[in-house]
Order: sequence, then C-alpha cells, then structure tokens
Amino acid sequence: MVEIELDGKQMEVAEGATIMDAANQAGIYIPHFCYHRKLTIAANCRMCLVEVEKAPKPLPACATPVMKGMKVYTHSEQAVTAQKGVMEFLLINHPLDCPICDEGGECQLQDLAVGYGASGSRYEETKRVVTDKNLGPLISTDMTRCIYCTRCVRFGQEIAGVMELGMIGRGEHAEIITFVGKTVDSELSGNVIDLCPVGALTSKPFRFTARTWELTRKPAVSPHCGLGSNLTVQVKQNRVMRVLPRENEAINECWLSDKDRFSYEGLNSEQRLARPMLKRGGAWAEVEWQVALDYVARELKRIREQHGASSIGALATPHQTLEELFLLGKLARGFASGSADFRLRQSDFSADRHRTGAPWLGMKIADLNALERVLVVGSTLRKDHPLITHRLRQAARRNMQLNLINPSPGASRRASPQERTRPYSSATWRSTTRPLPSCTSWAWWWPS
Amino acid sequence: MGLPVPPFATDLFGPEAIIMKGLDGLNWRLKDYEARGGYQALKKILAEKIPPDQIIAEVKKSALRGRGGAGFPTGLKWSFMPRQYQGTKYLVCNSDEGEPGTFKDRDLLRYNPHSVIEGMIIAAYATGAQVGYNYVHGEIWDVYERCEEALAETRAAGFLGSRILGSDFSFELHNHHGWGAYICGEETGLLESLEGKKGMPRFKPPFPASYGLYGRPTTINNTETFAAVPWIILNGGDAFLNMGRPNNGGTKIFSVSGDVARPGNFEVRLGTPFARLLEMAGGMRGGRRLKACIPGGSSMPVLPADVMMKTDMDYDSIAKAGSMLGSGAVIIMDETRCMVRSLLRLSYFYFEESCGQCTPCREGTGWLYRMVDRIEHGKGRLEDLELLDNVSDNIAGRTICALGDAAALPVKSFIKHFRDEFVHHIEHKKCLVPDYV
Repeated sequence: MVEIELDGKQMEVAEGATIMDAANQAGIYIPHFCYHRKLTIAANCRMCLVEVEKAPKPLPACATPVMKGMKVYTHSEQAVTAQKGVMEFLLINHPLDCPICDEGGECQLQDLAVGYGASGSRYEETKRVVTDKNLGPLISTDMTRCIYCTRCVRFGQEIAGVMELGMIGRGEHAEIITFVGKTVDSELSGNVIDLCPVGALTSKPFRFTARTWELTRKPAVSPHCGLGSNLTVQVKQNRVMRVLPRENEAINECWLSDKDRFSYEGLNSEQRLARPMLKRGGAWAEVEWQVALDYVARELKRIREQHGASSIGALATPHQTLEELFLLGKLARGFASGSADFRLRQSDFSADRHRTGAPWLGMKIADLNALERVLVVGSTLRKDHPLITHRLRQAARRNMQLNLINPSPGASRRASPQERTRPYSSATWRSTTRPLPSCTSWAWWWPS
Repeated sequence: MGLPVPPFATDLFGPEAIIMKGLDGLNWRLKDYEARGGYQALKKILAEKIPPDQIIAEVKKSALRGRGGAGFPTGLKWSFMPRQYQGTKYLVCNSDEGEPGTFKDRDLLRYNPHSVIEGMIIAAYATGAQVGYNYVHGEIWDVYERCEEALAETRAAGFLGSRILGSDFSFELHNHHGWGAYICGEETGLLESLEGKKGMPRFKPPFPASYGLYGRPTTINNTETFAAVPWIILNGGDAFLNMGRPNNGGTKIFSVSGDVARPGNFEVRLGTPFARLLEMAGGMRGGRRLKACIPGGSSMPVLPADVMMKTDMDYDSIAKAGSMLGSGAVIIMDETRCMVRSLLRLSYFYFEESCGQCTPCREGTGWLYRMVDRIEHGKGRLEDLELLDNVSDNIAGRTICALGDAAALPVKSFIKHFRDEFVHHIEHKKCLVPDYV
C-alpha cells in the first residue's frame, strides 16, 4: 500500500494504482472522457489533469501512478484552470447542437460543460466538419461531434476482439472510420454507443424516438442466451423504447451483446403474436383468451381419453423464465406423460442416460477469466455467447490456452469459403478469439 | 547559395570541428573513416575489455547532452537501462530530423555515417543492447541509401553481427526509412512508427528505458549524440568536457539558416559567442541588420537581436537568455522580415504536424494558426493578442508530448518580443516591414 494525500486527506491506495483509482476509492470525481475502467489508458482527452505537488505541470489522473507521499489536488486552481482549458478546446470544434442531438440529457460532454465550460465561446474561426460514416444498421454517426477519445477504437481491439474502428489522418484532419467500405459487425458492437461520451455514435433504431428523461427504467434479465445479462428496459407510454446494460460484474459487467440490446425491436413488431388465435375451417381467427384456453383444455382431455396420457408431451422455448418452465413441467407430470423438454433444436438425446442433474457451467461466469486452459466443444463462441467469449478473450490475452473442437460450420462469419465447408470434426485449432496481433499497422497506437 | 558540392574544403564545418573534421564530402567510406582514426575506439574497448559501467562513467564525465533538442545528459540516460534484464534490449538512433531549420543530422549521415555507426556500436556495448535501429527521416532518401551502403561496409568489416572482432559482444544494426512525419521525431512516436503503427507519442512514464521498442528496454539518442561518442572514448570525457563549458561538454553542430551570407552547418565548441557563429556563417546577408534569431529550432522561443548578440551558444546560456538550444538550428531573421508572417508559417507547420491524439494540441494548434492568419491578413483585433497568449498557455504543458509546447512557445515569444509589429498589423491592416524578401 502507498500512502498519499488527496485533496488534503490522507489515504492508502494499492501499489501501482493511478490517481484516478485513488480518487474513485475516495469518492472524489475527476472529470474525464477517454478514461474507462474497462479499457486501456489512452490519456488523450486531458480532461482529468490534476495538480500534483512538485510536478512542474498538471498531470493526467488516469495515467499517473501514485507514489509514496504524493500530494494531489483535484480541484485546486491549477487543476481547474487546466480542466477548463481542455473543455474549451473540446468545445471549439464541437457543433454544440445539443437540442437536436440524440445524446442530449445523457451526454458526458454536456454534463461536464456545465461544470467546466464557459457561457460564451472565445472561438470565432470556422469550425471543423467531419463526414458521417456508415457503420451498419445499428450504430448511427454524427462524426462532427466526435472528441477523439478513442474509446470506440480501444473497445474493438480490447473487448470485442476485432479491429473495426480506427483513427486515420492527423491533427484536425483525424477521423474515426472503419476499414474502407466495411461496417461494424461485431456481436458486441452496440456497446460503443454506451461508451461514446458524446453524440457521435448513437443507436440507429432508438434515435429520435424519445429523450432519456422521458423514459422509466425497469430492471430485467435477458432471455436470449444462457448468460442472463442484466438489463435496464426503458419504457415510454407502455412501450419498450430501448434496452441498456445493467451493470453486474458477476455476469455481463457493463456490456451487452447486440442481440440482447436490439431484440426489443421484436416486441413492437407488427408481426408479433400478441393474442391467441384458432384455426377454423383452414383460416386463423383471433379469439379471446378464455375461448382459447377452454379449447385447449377440452382438446387435451379428449386426446388423453382417446389415446392415453403417454401421447401428450410438452415442448417449451428455453427463452421462458425458470418459473414458467417449472409450472409447465408440473402440468406435464400431473396431466400428461410427464415428458417435457426445452431442447427444441436437438435431435440426439443419447447422452441423457449417462448424465444426472441439470447440465450447467460448473463454475461462476466471472471465474472464466482466471482459467488456464479451455476446450470448447461444438460452439461458435462469439455467435453463441458473445460475452463469455469476451471473458475467454481476456483470459487468452493473459496466455490462457483455448482450443475449439467442431465449432458449427458456416457460423463463423469471418471464415473463408473453404473453411466454411471444411469439416472441423477432428481438428483442434487455436482460437479465433485471440486478439489481433499488434503489428497490424492501422491507426492503432496502444501497445498490447 | 545551394548545398556545398563535394569535394569541398575540409574546414567547411569550422576549424574547431571534431565530428565533422577533415570531411570533404567524398571521404565518407569506411577506409576514409578508419584513416581518420575511426573504429579505434571500438577496437580499444573490445581489446581492453573495458567494462560497460566505465564507458557510461566516461560519457557522464564528458557532460555530453542530447543533441536532439531536450539536452538530457547522455550518460545518465544510458545508466537507466536495466542491467539484469533477460531478453532483447534495443538501441535506437533518432535521425528523424524534422524540426524546421535543422539539417545537421542529414550532413552528418551523408558525409560521416561511420561516426554514427561506431557511436551506436559503443552505446550498444555500454547499454547491453543487442539490436539497433537508425530511423532516417522520410524526405532524405539519398541519405538513407548512403546509410545502407555504410552499414554494408561495417558488416563486411566485422564490426557488426555476432561476436564482434572475436569478443563476446554481439550487435546487429538496421536502417529504417521513415515517411516524413514531424511527430515521428518525438522519441515514443518514433518507436510506435518503428513498430509499424501510426506515429503517435506514448504517455510517459513509462520511459523507453523500461518500456521502449516492442515493450523492451530501449535507449534512444540523437544522431549527433552517437557521433560524439567515439571521440569521447578515444580522448577521454575530460577532454570533451574541456572543449565546452561545465555541464555543456564538447562541440555542437549548429545549422545556421535564414538571412546570412553563408548558411550551413558549423561545428563549434559549446559556449562560443553567437556573434562568432554569425561571423562563421558569413555575417548578415546584404549587410542588413539582425532583427531576431531562433537559436534552437522552430519550436524554441525567438530572441531579439540585442539579447542574442550578448548570448553564448551553450545550453545554459541560451536558457538564461530566455530560449533553448534545442537541436541547434539557428534561424536568423533580418530587419526586412515580418514577424507576423514568420509566426504564421511556424503556426501552420505545427497545425499541420499535430498528430491529433490529445485535445489541446489537436484543437489548439488550429486555433492559433487561424488567429495568426487573421492578423496577417488584416482582420485581427487587439484582443486577439491576449487570446493568443492565453490559448498558448492552455496548450503548453497540457499535452502528451512536447509538440504542444513547440506550437505554443513561438507564439508567446513572438508576441512578447515583437508586439509592436502585431499591433501595427491589427491597427493599420498592413505590415510594418513591407519589403520582405
């Protein structure tokens, strides 16, 4: 432990911690944009400059390691002057179009401008305009608003495991872009919307439909995979407007996969089956719930009487909650053969006889990060479990050995045509989830 | 004037030269260098098995300071390299000479490349580096080709490779041709570029000595710094120190450019009066009066003539006068130079060369340039001068690398020393010195 003085208070912090870590520990807020606790340190926004005694100039809190006896002032005159200076620079080329910006109300730049910005601008020259980019159907861009914090770029490299965004150009001509003609296709791409501290990257399905302060927030759990990511469902007038991650370090951390984030759109689909229907005379007709339930009960009773209880089984979607599946199982045991299953896409059940209990991971999800060796059988990880893949990727970065057997052919989007048709049955190959080697020379500067 | 065409007089670079001594433009090859006493220092070290610590101590004693701009003591820098490190350590030569006004490394590599190579081999021996790179600036392809030829000669002579001259010491050296970005002259930007990435400076700490090229301990020095090393080994640190002044050892190559009769590189002892250097460069062109001088390359503060004429050319004297020796690029401006226009050119350079990584430099350099541009074109206001000063303050010392300071310092010093010219531009919407050439 290292003893330091932070804003006049003595405290102890772990060795190797940064001033930002110490401030977080002490509950002191230091303004920042590029810093994100899940990403590497870039120290490029310069918003977190603080005064350190005996240092000739203000130092970035996010990148400065604490040293014994260090005296740090986060809100001294020198620190605030530096922070205000940076804020002015960030705003001179920013369009200041908050009223028409989708980020308005939840914008880090807007929030901090209240504390560190001036009421008028001293900048009277022409402003920079940056052309928007096509990042695909999920992420909308207004690149003139970008403040080049490179959170999105680092996210692709470090968390999503694919380098899809990068910074080209120099100085004022710098731009965040994709590879020429490419879109952002990672299974975790939507997280850059949350990461972007300004309105440069916003949600394409959500944009312009609601303001953040109009939404009520409901905690929920994602039904789309076995992970159970924690969600915040945001509702306006009884309509789900968007879904955001709810932080849970044990499960999804602060991330969300794209299927969890964007599948709420199905809720509002016109094609969604929202009321019961019966087929009469070859045509579907909408009926009341009571009519439908009576019909089903009557017919099931008839079938049991005519063909016996063993002729009735129950299949349910695994997207149901545990409670509902339990009730269905209870119904099947009481009323029918007791045969109930949720494995709708499985045809080979021969392993059932050799297994007792429910199959499960056998460990906490968070413990995946600490594994030394992993063998994955029959899964295209990044498609099936994007966030478990992320944990394995972090482990792989620390030299965990990952082997895959028989990942479903054709599922790997990045596989070449030959690879897609090649059977993987006996092949064991090094993971595709290892991070790209740092020697790829495209707008990437942080040593990995 | 143009470049001197070889063969030229062997005292072209000044009578006090030690690095550039006896060069006529054609005698750059290995045999010529050896005839001048080249590779004797390396042979002496390997034959006498001088321990690395002793070499570092000798360099420390010589008070050799980094010739690239920052003036950091070289021996001290070498001593930061971890001794016990298992694995490859690197040595890098920063020949990415991009500072406007600086052209010494170009001539050094062109006319005396083996002095740099020998200096690097000795530095590798002292720091324990196994692999070295010489990063040559992008716009001097012919120099890069010459370095390649010189390196081939060195390899053939057995001064590079494994077990050099039958000793236990092995070192391999490569040339790398950059692509001309100014920012790649910043040492960590250079390392990024060498790794194949975009040239963007890293945040320090960690410094290259602990986390350098490919994350390994790395020593990075300027070309001229390496070139001085063989002389120090042969003649001793004290002899080198005595050529200059305390804390400012040895000779220094000054690139004198601008309104002088004979612009060029001049190697003089540190502490030489500025007037003497000006005289070596043939004095003021056309007999005009000296108005201002930037003594250390375009990123250093400008000094007015009267201050400059009283100043000696060494690190400490120039710092005392209010500027910095930097890379030793002496830019001379005579009475016909418009200081607003001169600053405009400098501001445009830093605006164009900012890497765009961190906020104050990316946004601020453009702001400075546009304001100076307005003043130059008769659209300035008096308040702009305070604003320029204040914006410069907000850039300097707030950035990842020194480019922010480099952009801010000229602006502050030009306004400080030549405020009347700026005011005249603003009030009369025209230049105080209309006849600039």
